[in-house]
Amino acid sequence: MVGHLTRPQSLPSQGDAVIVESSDIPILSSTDRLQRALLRWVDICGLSGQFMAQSDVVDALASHDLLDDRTYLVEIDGQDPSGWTVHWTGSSVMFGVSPDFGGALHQCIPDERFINLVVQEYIDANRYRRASARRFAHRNQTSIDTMDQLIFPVRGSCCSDYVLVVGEAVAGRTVYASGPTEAGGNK
Amino acid sequence: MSMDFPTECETIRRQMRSLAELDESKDIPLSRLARYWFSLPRRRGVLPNVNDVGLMDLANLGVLGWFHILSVESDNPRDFGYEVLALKAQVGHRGLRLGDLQHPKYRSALEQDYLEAKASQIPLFHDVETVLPDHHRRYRRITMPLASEADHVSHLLIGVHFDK
Repeated sequence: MVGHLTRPQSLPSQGDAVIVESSDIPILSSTDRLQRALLRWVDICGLSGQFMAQSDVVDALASHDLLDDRTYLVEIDGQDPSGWTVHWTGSSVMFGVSPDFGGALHQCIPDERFINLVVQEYIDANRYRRASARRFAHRNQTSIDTMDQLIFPVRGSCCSDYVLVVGEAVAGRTVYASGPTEAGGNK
Repeated sequence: MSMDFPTECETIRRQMRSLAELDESKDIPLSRLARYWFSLPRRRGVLPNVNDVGLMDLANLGVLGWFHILSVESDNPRDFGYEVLALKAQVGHRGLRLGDLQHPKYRSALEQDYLEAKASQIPLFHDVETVLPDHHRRYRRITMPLASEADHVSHLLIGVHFDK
């Protein structure tokens, strides 16, 4: 039976312990939007398998209604996210199209361990060609920043690898704008 | 305020069956959900914790869309509320309470079944047929108790599998 994988990365230090971790998204707090997106992905690609774009990746994803305001598309190239290109972001994502995904993420959540955790999940989704649903949390003694993300592996027509990330803010600072969201779009 | 429909238009049939009668080849989502429930860790007592149920776990099982999660904290079954509603059911919405259901017989049957499931603390398996003025459906249903903080039933994980 499936286990409960939690991937904590903590470096407690005196007086200022920060914990970053990723875990499965608790079913009670998974929104209908995320469930529908995951169900739709499974219908199209299965849990194991990539979305294969025969034409422009963004157009292909859009034609399957897989892009919305809290979605972004990142091209995965190597291990260093500063070299990953953000190709598309929805209107409620706090960064826009950029040649430096690591830098964009750092502007939202300036913690290297948190960024490494997120990046590793994206690398794994691509490496194992497998969709995943993760809750990312960044906690210290005074605050908690939490977001839920579905991570979908995508292969472009030129054999480039991408992840499509469909997410939501749960608490605190995240890569998503807080408050009411609007329909999707690119920046 | 809910508006009741005439009860003469409603027929609700359900028959409790032994879990051993669950046909794993016919009701794959239900059998997978049952195995999952039995496999969940028991932090205390005999009930699994609702917070241990994860979205990806259920996706990996291939049961997305085939289950509800109903909050049964209240003593009044009319206040039992759907925190997750089976997407495959294509009716209702998250937050819906049993007391919001419009058909009196249907509402009463669900209240009775879910009160029983809450009290029994074990999985219950039913054959169900509902004939309503706007709705006719046959399905199998498995109802499994979950706890939250203390070792009492706070939620029900309800697998539903509809005939075509």
